[in-house]
Amino acid sequence: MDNYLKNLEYQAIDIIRDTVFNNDVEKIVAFYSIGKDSSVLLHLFKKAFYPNKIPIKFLHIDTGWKFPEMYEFREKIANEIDLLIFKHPACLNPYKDGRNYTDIMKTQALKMSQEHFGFKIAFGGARRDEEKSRAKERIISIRDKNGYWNARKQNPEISPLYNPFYCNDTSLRVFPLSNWTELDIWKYIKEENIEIVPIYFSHKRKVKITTQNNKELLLIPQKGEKTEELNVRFRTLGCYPLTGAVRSNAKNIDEIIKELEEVQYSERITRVIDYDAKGSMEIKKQEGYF
Amino acid sequence: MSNNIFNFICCGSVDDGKSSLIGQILLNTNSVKQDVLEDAMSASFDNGSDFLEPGLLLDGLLDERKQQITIDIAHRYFDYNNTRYHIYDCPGHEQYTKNMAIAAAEANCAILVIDVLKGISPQTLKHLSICALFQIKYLIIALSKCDLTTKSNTWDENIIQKRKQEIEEILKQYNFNYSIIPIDSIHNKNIDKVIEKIEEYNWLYFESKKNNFIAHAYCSQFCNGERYYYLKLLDKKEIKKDEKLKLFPLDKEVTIKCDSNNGTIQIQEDIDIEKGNALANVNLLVSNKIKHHTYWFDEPTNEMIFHHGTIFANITKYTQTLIELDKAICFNNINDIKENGFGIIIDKASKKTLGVSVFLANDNLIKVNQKGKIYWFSGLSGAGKTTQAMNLWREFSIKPILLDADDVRKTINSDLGYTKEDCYQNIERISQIAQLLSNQGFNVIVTCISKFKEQRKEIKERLKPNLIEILVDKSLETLKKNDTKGLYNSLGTCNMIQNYEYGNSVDIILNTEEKTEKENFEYLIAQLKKLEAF
Ligand SMILES: Nc1nc2c(ncn2[C@@H]2O[C@H](COP(=O)(O)OP(=O)(O)OP(=O)(O)O)[C@@H](O)[C@H]2O)c(=O)[nH]1
Ligand SMILES: [Mg+2]
Repeated sequence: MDNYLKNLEYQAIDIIRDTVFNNDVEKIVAFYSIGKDSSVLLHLFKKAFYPNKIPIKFLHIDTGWKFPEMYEFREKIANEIDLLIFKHPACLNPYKDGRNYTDIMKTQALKMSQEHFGFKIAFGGARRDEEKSRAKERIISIRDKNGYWNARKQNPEISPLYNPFYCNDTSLRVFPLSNWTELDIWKYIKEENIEIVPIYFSHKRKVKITTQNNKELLLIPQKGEKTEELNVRFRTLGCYPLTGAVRSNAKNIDEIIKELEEVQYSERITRVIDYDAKGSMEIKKQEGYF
Repeated sequence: MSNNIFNFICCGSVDDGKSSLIGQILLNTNSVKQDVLEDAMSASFDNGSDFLEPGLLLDGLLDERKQQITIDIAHRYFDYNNTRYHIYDCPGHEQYTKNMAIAAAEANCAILVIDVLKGISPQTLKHLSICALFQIKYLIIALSKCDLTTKSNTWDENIIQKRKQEIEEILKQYNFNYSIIPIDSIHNKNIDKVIEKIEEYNWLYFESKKNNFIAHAYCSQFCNGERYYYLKLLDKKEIKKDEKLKLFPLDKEVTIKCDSNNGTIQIQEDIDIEKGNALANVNLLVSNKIKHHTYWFDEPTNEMIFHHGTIFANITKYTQTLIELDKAICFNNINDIKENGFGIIIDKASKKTLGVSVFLANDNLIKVNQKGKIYWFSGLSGAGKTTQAMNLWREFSIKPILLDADDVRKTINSDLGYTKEDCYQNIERISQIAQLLSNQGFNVIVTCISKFKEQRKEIKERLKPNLIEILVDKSLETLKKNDTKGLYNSLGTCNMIQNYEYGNSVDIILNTEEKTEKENFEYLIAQLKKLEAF
């Protein structure tokens, strides 16, 4: 493995161990989104505690609107690890409920689940290179009692001396993949032979061609909509009504890596939700999103 | 890509152009995606600019864009010529200095941006001293906004030259490997030179990096009857079967049982490795009393936790120079091995991180109510006392106080002449001042001919064991030959300075006649370490 990637791997393992070995495991959870970053995170957890089993639980916040391929994959993973599933009782519809959908089914669900299970520390697979406000966040990020993030009140943090403690009215979000890029994730998936949801690879699919901010956005069609069959793959996976595909012929990891080395746009442009307001990711984070 | 990750920070006073420079570096290395560029472009228009403000590629928070100032560090990554770079764009505003300090603690190299028109400001100096505290060895000074030096397309070389001199004067106090580059981030001028320098320093950094292995143990766990140890590695690499490492604090050798690539090991010996123990191929210091310098992010509190390696210990006693813990830690001094040379302080109640402590010297030196050391450089005028003394001075993170006989003569001792009595009195007073300072915990460096044998003996007797006498020795013949100050060949002064009374035993002799400055310096440091005086 490349030296720099090995470094990122060890750093992530350190962060996982620092947090888990110094806290009550019952208070810790790792969010599992079924996506590529979550798959890498899960792999790192296995590696961090090998030959023993992962001592903490994983949790999937379900919305009911994930791709069928994701649910299939989740079944498989559930046999391997201690996986909890939580779904907000409101059961909103992304086509009808707009911004409320993300807020309730994701942000509120996330906070509700933490309360429900009594978790104080939550791992996530977010990376700083994903978005400009994420680039400002600590690896171990303190949230107040409402789960809010305050960019002006971040804890000083010096790698590799992480401070993994919380107090009564704070909780922690921990991001071991903070310093990884999208390309690093793929190189690592290749090196370590990590299994991922198959729709990350190119496949034929009927899509609705639209645009968002003057860029093409290929969406899953609703009934009766005009579609076209194209070779596509997904760069990110989430709720299918909010996730766009990209045109691609990349059938294996090497081809994906090659594609990404030349790609013009970042993976964010395949997400519908990010464009409802300027700085919307930051606002969502302030409200308690990952 | 084969290389390791190179961390560098961009620091300097508020608005001097840090974010703009980083933005431009990202653009020049092809590291900005189209949609990110479009976003920064539209933010520039919102701010009333009719061109791209490269700084907006970094300033991503809503408040930052509104106030046009950086609040917290922005992390960016880019690959260039087979190396992964991790850039930390620091805030310059005084209120956010702590955010700069945490970035500096992780950095291998720093770009210090100075507005060419404004010049050096107090905040510039503060950032510089933080870089020095965290042992950053490589420094690029970017003189920014050179386009504003004239109204035309050319730059005013006079202003640039003047700034360069001012900066060089200040950098004399430090031992950075540095270079100064005038730039213009808005029009992309000389950014390529900055990138070239970063590459060079990256190369130098890894070239000079020693092959240290240090790991701290988290815990052990059993699996199928076998015992596994979980480690935190400072230098991330694989551990090979049969590799031998020293276990601290037990000071025993252990042998690795199988190859490991995830920081989990088994050992062949039947020895317990406990939480906080360390494995290393170099020597570590082990103590619960640590001499430190702490950079505070927040006020200290009554109950604090200290974190180093895999240990979280209670602080049982805290003074400005000494931390006492309820557990021993395995560490190094920051100037020996940076990665193992600092710890953090956490408030027990709020769990906030309050400060970062840099480890400064062997704890053997530490006594309660500790006195400062006096490094007394004696020897003939022109023998090289000041040069040697300044080299030593630069090695300190907390700078010792300098007492140079010539300076003292111009001020406190201006009433004295060059008679034997006056010369005696001059030295006497210097020794008194040094004693006073040492008693208050300051380290003092004295440079003074101090030719009288009896007097030297008397002073040493009085200031023992805090005084280290260092004789800088060059023969009279050579001094006469290269007499630049004209001291040895004029009749007036020659008499009093020529007869340095040799004879009593000194702690360290630096022979400046036969050995080079560098050799002497290395010898001096080694001897001081042996005397546990550094
Ligand atoms: N003309 C000119 N303007 C510059 C140059 N570099 C930066 N500026 C301007 O100086 C202002 C401050 O630049 P920033 O890059 O935001 O400064 P900074 O040092 O990051 O500021 P803080 O992070 O808030 O301390 C902006 O308006 C820039 O457009 C330069 O080389 N030439
Ligand atoms: Mg800035």
